[in-house]
Amino acid sequence: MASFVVELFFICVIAGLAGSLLGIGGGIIVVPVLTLVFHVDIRLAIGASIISVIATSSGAAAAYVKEHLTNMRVGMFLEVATTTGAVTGAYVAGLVSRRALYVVFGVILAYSSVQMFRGHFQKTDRPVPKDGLADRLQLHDAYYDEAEKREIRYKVTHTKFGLFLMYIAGMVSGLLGIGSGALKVPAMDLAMRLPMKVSTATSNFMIGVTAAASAGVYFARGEIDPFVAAPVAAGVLVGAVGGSRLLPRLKSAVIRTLFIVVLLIISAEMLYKGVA
Amino acid sequence: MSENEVVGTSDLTGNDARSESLKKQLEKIRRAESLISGVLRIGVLLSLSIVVIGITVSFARKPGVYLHTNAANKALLTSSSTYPHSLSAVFSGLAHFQGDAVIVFGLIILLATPILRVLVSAVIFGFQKDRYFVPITVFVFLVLVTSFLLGKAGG
Repeated sequence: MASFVVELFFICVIAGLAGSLLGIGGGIIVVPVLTLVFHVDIRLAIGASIISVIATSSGAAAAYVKEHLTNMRVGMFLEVATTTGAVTGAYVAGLVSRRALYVVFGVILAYSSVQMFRGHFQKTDRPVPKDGLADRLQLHDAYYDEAEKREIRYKVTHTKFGLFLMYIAGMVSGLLGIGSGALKVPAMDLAMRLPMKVSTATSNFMIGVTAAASAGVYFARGEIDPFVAAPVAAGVLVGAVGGSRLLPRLKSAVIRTLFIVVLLIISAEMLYKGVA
Repeated sequence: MSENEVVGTSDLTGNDARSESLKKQLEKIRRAESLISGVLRIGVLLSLSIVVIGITVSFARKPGVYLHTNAANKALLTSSSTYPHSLSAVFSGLAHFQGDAVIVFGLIILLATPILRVLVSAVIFGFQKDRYFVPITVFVFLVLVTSFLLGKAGG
């Protein structure tokens, strides 16, 4: 069974690669693989997926921040909402029906994927509404797009609405323990009008922080099993570093398409959990 | 920095007198980015190497850990009492160079990296006298510490 560590490592390389490209944690790959393929206890699988989220985030963020793909100021500002949302979510978890939440967010994610699909056909030079808060916080930025071989300057808008959406995203992750990146990317892409790659890189930057806050609990409860988490951490880190080399060279349209597909899968998974 | 010196990106393309102050602003942002990128890189490399050392040590000491049959593995994948899950247990395990304690130590460095990143940004913004981002990052750090202590926040 030396294959356990080797197989798990390679599957996690893929999870880290996908997660770092799309700004999601990779839990949608890690948890089912651990429970269904390797018969790992669900609690230990969730503990390992927390590790996976943090590894995806930190592994890729070093490169994304340096190349300005991450809009660090946007990310740090929105973390105000995601972290408070996560705390709120954990507190109201007992008061709301998880099933209903799965249905609600399954629908929201399906709607987001349709809207993001429409983004394929929208002109990229649509005027961006002026936003005083984004001006004051100096959120506008630029990055060099290697795929397009040019610098892309962009303006950020609807900062307050974005903050509100991030509070909801944080709350959902506090409530359901999943899906934080899947909500963050559409919020930045659709509402705040960040370029697609900046949205996934900035989401990637943020997800590690909320996961780290809850990781201590999982650790104290003994749900982070070193023998399960070690191959996950190593594999995901390697995959995320690889992903961070790849993202600058991929076209935004490719990332958008991949993201929409994954969004639909997560949405279907949530709807299934809600009604099954 | 006074209110009227705050510049929006309309000036990114501008060439008026304010572009000098804007250039300085951008330089500050870039410097903060490279420092924070460095923190993340060090955290990742350190934790990855320690985890790999831990796997190697576990394997060298007890090849069975990753080698036994499915049935024996089942115990490993469902139990939660055999490996260290408190800081003191980790440190005493480290003193004996136990593989599992070394792995957990590497994982703790991984978990601490994003939190350290927030703390370091708060310090950088403090040095840069950024009147918006000092309170923003300090607030995030306090929420993290609180939720860590309350042990309630989700991922």
